[in-house]
Amino acid sequence: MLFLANLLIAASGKIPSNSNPWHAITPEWVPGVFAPAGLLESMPNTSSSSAHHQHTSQRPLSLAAGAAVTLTGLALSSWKLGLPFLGIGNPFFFAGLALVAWSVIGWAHDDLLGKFKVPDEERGERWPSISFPKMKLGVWTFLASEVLVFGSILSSYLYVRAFSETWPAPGSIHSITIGTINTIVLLSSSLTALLALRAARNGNVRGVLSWIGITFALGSTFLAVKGFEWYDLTYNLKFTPQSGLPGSTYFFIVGLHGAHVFAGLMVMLYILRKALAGKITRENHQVVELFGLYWSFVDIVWIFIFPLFYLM
Amino acid sequence: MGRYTPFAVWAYIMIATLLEAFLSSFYWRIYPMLVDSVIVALIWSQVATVGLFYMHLKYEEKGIKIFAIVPIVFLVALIVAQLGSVQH
Repeated sequence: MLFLANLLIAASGKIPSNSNPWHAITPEWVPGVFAPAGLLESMPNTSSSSAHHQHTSQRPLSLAAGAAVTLTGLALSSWKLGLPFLGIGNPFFFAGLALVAWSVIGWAHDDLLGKFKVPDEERGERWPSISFPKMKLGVWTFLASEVLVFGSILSSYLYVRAFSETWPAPGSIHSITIGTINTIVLLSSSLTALLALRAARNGNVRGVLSWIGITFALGSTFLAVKGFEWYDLTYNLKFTPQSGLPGSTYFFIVGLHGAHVFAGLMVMLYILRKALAGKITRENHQVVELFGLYWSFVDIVWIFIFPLFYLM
Repeated sequence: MGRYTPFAVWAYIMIATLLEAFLSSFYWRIYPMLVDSVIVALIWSQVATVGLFYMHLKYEEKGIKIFAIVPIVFLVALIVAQLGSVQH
């Protein structure tokens, strides 16, 4: 009713609106910016050569499509029809993975070409993140979702373990020594990631390359040791995901964490490529800082996982 | 952040990790509840240290700190809500 009343009053023209009815502070509401019709001698230039043509990457869209196709393959996996692995979901799953990989690589390539650069907004557009960049806010939002993902998974693990009558004692299946060495390797990589950021802030590109390279080596070592550990568990100790709750929870949670470590390694390759292309400078090094946030979060998750599975 | 702060933080989390492994290897079978409690305390101290220094939360704006704490609040609420499904 209120809407209809407003509509009728506005249509009657009895109460005229001023040029800025909502007291907005963005440029399009400044009086006189848009000239009255007929005052211009020619049409304004709206060709694609303006700054806004830089938003031309299709990779985010194709990445979303690839994720949807991959998940469709997983959803169809219940219809095996005598086929191996995911049954009739196989072509969808692998086609989706290929599309995701193509999209991610292309997205990184487009970023190197500067296709995602936008001019800084006026103060009004940047609210509420006036004092910190939107990208940092975006990464923290992503990490918040990861807290809920890993938090709910680990709390479920604690629940099934608390209500299980028996559970393998520490050291009986998982080697404490190997787990400790791997933890030292991964936690040390957080230090090297931070030193890479320090180098970036000083404009030291060689330092960025060195420290990111060392971080990559430590992360790769972590995954390699994890792979060796899984091989030993599966083929020598016969401890597999089918070995009851201790096996399924271990392989799922540690595997999920390993996937996050692998994703971090891919980001590091991208940062190395960007640094070699001269795109990381004293004024433009946000990617190193944001990667450091993600990598430290991955370490925090391992700080929880290591004691829960190896020490307690 | 101080010039040597990252190294001090690294040293602390290394010592904490080695202490956890030592306690679990030699004392868990004798005092399981006590060792578990000490390990949990060490875990949270490591998490707080990494979060404050390596993730720069100690030096960030209040808005970012809120973004870091809010999901923990939601997680606690999620866990409490799940307790209702516990079979007795």
